[in-house]
Amino acid sequence: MISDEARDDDLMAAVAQGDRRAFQVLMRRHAPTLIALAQRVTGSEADADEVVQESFLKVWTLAGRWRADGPARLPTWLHRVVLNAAIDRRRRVVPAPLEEAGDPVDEAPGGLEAVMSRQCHRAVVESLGDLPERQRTALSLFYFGDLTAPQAATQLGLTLPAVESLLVRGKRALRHALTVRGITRLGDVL
Amino acid sequence: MEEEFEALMRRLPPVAEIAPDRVERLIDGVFLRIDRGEAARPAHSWRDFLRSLTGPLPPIRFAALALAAIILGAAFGQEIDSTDTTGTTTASLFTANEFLPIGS
Repeated sequence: MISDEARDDDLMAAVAQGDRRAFQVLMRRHAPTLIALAQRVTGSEADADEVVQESFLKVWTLAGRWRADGPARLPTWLHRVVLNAAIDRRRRVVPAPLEEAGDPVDEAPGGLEAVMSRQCHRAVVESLGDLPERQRTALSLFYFGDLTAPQAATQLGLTLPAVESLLVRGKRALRHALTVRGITRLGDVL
Repeated sequence: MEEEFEALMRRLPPVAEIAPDRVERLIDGVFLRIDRGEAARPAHSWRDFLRSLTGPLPPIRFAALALAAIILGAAFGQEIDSTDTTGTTTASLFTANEFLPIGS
């Protein structure tokens, strides 16, 4: 009988056998973090829920291939799956041309700031998608997962210097990707 | 530049605390989609199959396997017999080996 305190690897072994109760425990444990991540990337509650559901369906399908002695920890693998799916989904959203947008409904102060914030959000997410997988995951854990560098190192199974190096290279690459998108000064989107 | 970058990353939309009922709805949705056949069942490896033989009801499974082996064996044996009625099978095996003199 699977308990709520069972280890992730034991849960995955049970899920591979088709154990729904184990799958439920696994989802309850990780869903809040994954929904938060997906919502930060997609900027939408509905999209976030869809992305996380699809990611869990992938877990159900691939559970038999999960190796407890493999290089990845389950939370890191889940984070990576959801992050990539959320970036893909965000990229599929085509912004409407400005001239078709009409007059803004919300004329409250701060409306322009909100628009700029959305533009900033889109540029960062798209640029993040251009980074190598390891840099993208490290940056995402650090900024979106609100982890400290030592916490990110633990989650990634790397040393602290290795994660710090990934973060430095990731930030440099992200700035370059933003520049490629025509954002030469961060003030352009702030 | 560095401070601006940090501000940019930290200014991405914050996420409010995820409500438990939202999580439960999401989980229900996952199971619903599984029941609709949107995700194939986890694939079972040969190791899982062999392990299942020692699981519940092994005598029944062993009996089923033994019966299947008998049926297959009988069918296979019948086929060999049917090709061997003229003795050509044995003869061709020997003649195919050039180091074995024919008729020895």
